[in-house]
Formats: sequence, structure tokens, C-alpha cells
Amino acid sequence: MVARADHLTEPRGSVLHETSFRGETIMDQLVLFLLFAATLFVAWNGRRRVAIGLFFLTIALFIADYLHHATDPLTLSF
Amino acid sequence: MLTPRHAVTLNALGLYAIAAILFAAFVFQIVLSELPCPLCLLQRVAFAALAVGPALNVRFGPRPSHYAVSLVAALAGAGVSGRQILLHVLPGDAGYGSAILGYHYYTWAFVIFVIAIVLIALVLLFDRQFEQAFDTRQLPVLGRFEKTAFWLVFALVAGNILNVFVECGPDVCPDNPTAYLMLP
Repeated sequence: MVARADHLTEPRGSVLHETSFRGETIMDQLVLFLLFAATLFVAWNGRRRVAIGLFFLTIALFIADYLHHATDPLTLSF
Repeated sequence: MLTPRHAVTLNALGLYAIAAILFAAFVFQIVLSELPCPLCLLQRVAFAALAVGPALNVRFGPRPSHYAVSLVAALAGAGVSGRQILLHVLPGDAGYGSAILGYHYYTWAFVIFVIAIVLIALVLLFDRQFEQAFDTRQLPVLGRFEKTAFWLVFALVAGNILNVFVECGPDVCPDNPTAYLMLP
């Protein structure tokens, strides 16, 4: 359910960019919240190693989602 | 000295603090009618991630690996919130959303993640908390205080699942959301 949108060519600010990626189901933050909720639940139910594994898997997806959303150029001038 | 029992209580307090932050985000979202952007939501995700370490410490007793989990989550959160600060750092940029006590949400988030990193580093200095966990493998006896802390955080993370679905639907969240997509 988490997917990159490298194929998207519409400029920033277009209707397509602002609203959706047609033809794909992307529930990125929802999936991340679900996975961390699952991690907490698994941890509380005594599966320590599974919880830690799930945590790092979700962190990897978190970083991928961050890179996906961090597309705006930083207008810095040092 | 920080005994294992004290460490469990301290981690439960950490869970309450994370629950308070997630709850405050909901309150500001509803009261100010400001929808969180994708980077804002990622910061909330990072707070949910930050709860995993304390939850493990409360459930299994304090271990360095659990604090490492918290450090990774806090660094990820600081990275995302720091990025959003830089997006609005130029003079004249009004920032995203309202300012609370003079700072925007992402600035507060950055400050809190940095404070979390410092606190975790300080708590790691107390070795005595780890002795019992490795010697006896006894799980901590949990009272209502610790159980409530965990389920409060869990309920707020579950609330965020619902919130994201109502805001964005089965789709990617818009860069600048103005309405809940799943509400008429």
C-alpha cells in the first residue's frame, strides 16, 4: 500500500499532484500508524523480538515515505 | 540511584507524555480547524514510534536496546521536523499552520524530539536499572498506572489511524489539505 510516485510528471500545484495519484492506492501515513500500532500491540503481548523487528521495518518505510514527501526544494542560500 | 522499578515508572511517565502530545495535536487540529500536512502527520507517526521503546521497557523491564529503539524514533522525528523548519526558514515565510506560544507545531516537535534524545541519554547513564533485567529475566509487575499509560498511547495511535483515513481517504494525503476527504 506504500508506493513511490516516480512516474508522476505533473508539475507541483497541478490538480493531480495535489489530490491523488490516479490508479494507485496509497495510504502511506495510515499504513505507518497501523504498523506502529501493531508494533505496540505485539510488544505488549510479550513478543519482544517480533516487536523490535516490526519497529525497524516500519522505520525503513517511514524513511521511504519521508523521502517521497520531501520533494520541495529547500530555498537556502549559504 | 535509578532502580529497575523506578525505570519502569519513568518509562510509564514517558508514555503519558507522548499521549499528552498526541492528544494536544488532536485538540489543536479540531479547535483551530487546521488539517495536518503529510510532514506534520509523519511527525505524529514519529511520536507513535517514540512510544515503542518505553512500552518495551514497561513490559519487559529496562534494557539498552529498548532505549536504542527510542533514540532511533526520536532522531527520525527530529529529522522530519527539522526539514519542515528549513522549508519555512526564509524571512517573510509565514510558516505552515498557526503558531502556538510563538512557535509552529513542527518547531515544537523538533524541540521535543531533541529533549527526548537528551533525556534518553541521561537515563542511559544509570547502569543499575539494567542489572535485574539481565540477572533474573523477571518481568515487571504492572499496576494500573503502567497499564493505563500503555493503553492511552495505543488508543491515541488508533485514533490517528482513523484521523488519517477521514482526512485523506484511501489515497495519498494532499500537500496542503483544506478539507476532510471522507466527510461530506
